[in-house]
Amino acid sequence: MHNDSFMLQAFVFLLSAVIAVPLAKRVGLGSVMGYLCAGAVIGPFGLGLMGDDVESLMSFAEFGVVLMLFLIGLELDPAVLWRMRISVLGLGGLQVLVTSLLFFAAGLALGFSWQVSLATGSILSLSSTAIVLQTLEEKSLLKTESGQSSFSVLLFQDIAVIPLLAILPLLAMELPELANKTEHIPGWETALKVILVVAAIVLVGRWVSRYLFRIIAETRLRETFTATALMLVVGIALLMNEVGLSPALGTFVAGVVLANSEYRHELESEIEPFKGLLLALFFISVGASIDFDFLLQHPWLISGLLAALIGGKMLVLVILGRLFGLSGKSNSVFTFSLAQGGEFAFVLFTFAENNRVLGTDITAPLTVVVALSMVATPLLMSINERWVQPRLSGNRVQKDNNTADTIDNHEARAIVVGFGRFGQIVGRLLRINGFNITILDHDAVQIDSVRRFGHKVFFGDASRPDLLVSAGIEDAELLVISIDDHNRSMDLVRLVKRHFPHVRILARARGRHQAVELLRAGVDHVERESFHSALRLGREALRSLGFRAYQARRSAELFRHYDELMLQEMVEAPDDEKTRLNLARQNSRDLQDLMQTDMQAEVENQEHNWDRG
Amino acid sequence: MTAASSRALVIYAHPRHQTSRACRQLLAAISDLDEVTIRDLYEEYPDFHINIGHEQSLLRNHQLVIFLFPLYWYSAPSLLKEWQDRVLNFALDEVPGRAGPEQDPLQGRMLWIATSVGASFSSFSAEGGNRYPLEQYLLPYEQTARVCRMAWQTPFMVCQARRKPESVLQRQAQSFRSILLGKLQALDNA
Repeated sequence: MHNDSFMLQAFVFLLSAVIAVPLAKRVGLGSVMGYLCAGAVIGPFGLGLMGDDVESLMSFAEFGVVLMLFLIGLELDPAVLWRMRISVLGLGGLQVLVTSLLFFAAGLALGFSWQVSLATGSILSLSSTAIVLQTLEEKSLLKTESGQSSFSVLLFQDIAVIPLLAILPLLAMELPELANKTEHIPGWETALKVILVVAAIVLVGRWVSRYLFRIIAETRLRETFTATALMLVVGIALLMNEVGLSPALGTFVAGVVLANSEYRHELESEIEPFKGLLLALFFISVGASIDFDFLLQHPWLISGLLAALIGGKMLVLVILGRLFGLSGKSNSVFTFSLAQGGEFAFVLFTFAENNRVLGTDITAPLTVVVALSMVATPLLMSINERWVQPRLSGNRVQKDNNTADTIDNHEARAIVVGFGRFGQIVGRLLRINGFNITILDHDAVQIDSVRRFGHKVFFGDASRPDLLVSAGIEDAELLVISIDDHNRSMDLVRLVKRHFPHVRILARARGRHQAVELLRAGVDHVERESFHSALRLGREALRSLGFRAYQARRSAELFRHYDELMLQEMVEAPDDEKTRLNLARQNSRDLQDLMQTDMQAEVENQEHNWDRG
Repeated sequence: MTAASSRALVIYAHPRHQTSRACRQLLAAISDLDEVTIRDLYEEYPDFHINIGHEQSLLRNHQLVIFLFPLYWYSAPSLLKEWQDRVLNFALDEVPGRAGPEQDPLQGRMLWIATSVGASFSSFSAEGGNRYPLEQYLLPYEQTARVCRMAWQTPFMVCQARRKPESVLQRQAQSFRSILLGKLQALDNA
């Protein structure tokens, strides 16, 4: 019975998402807006299809945010993070500080006590990581200047939650002696905890996880790997909760630590679908949590507060963006994207209520306002896109084209699949010449031995589109297929030709027939794995039998030339067994004739004295 | 650049095209012309294995042959020399019983050298470090043209190719282009 109701719930969620998201996308508002609306419709204040316990559902769905930060961490290795330190601390720090002060002052002006003003001010300074990042990613803005700035601010906010959780109880008005007590306990203890936990994560991520993943990978069972990946993230989240830190922050650190791991791409593609579903659930529950009764009872209060929240945030953001040198276009994206309250506000409001810092009279309207501001974000972004951006680009086209969107991603231009005896030579040649390559191999033992030589190798089965995407095939120019299994090569070629036709494909082929098949499937260039070495050996054989070295080379080159011509002929010939056999037989006869005539001609040609005595 | 409408054949030999200044400009200035076919030898034959028959048939189909190369050690880069060694001998073949174009496949065609050097013009003189005028170093080509019964054209030369500002090189490339257009015009009128 219980099971049935769970299935029904799940069905309602999925159905609402399936209906609302395509609709929202059609209108140009993006998936986040779709989920939020779906939530509002099926929520307790709409059709009431969600059951009563929206809050516990929401705290479950917040795990989606945790997964998202883990994935973001995976994309940022420590070096990239270090480069962002100024914008995280400077831009992020100032955003939190100035916004808090602004709302603090507003609170005082409205006649609230300083404790209440400070608590609400700092809580409202936070933005929604989930909504902003999802929306930016959907609009492919995450890797641009504006996207990176927004991300820096969000990252700082996630860190800022930790001290906020420590400070809020101190603001309690009624129980000063409790405040005094808590004041002495957390300080150094919290700091120590943070350091210990982060150190543990780094330690485990750096050294232990590699062996764990390797053992799991050797089982070659994909679901085991999925389970391990999930277990890791859930474990970290639990650990962080236990010591009272933000689970999102913990998994983010874990992600950064694993960003250099050879299992990064595999992890990304395993976690991605879970993140997507849970985030959707999260957005739906945000939509469902909007208290429409309250909204209808106090329309002016709510809309006034909403306007003040969004307006105040935008004011601070636009000034800070200008201060940190964002160009007009980037700054408007930055300003419009971060102008909402965050999911942490819900947590912190509840927390503040429990600690008697804020009363329900304050948190009730503000919770509605924060939820509405989150709903407004996709709308604001669309407004920015349609009406604000065009104007800005009209004014400063030249400058913006050069300055915006310049954050380069350091993804490799070439992907090498299969890093055995063949792929290693290709890969080393590319790297010696300064090209950054991404290597994929499905053999864990192989990866381990290669990694010792300092290569960056990722584990995974390249015939899965999601893994190719996380390996960066969408931005890559070149795919080198150097695996020895012909059928897998063919599958991979078909897959890439279908989904990523822009990529140039070079492939290793076992022999002539495989080469023909690969070329027919659309590979740009094929090398038969033993052809050139055999030819080299043949050349040495000729030498051993008395040819001059250069004479042997000419002969081998001529052989190669005709052999490749015939391969091309076979590619163009109709594809049936009989023609192919005939062609092959005829070719070997022709080759002999042609070579003989040519060698003869060459001898005559060269023996012809150019200066005729 | 189809072989049918093309009248000029540029045999371009530059082993370091990627860092070239002068030759690259010269090539760029004419590469858009329909009447010009460009053979980038180091791109076509990185392994030095020249497709002799193909090169010979190209020669047969063009009236104006241009060798474009940087001067290395008072001669062409080695691949162009290899090309000469392999391809040009057919001009000397004497096939009994035949006459005219069959006998002399290059007869009446023009050979035009365009080359660049790092040194100055003045160094190519009795007083300068290179002791002889640049033209004298190109005598082997002039004689080659004569033996192949081709009409020798006054060479086009760019000096101080490493030091001249880009704008000067560009101007020279433009004059290279207009001389070429003049020659094509003359061919049309003939």
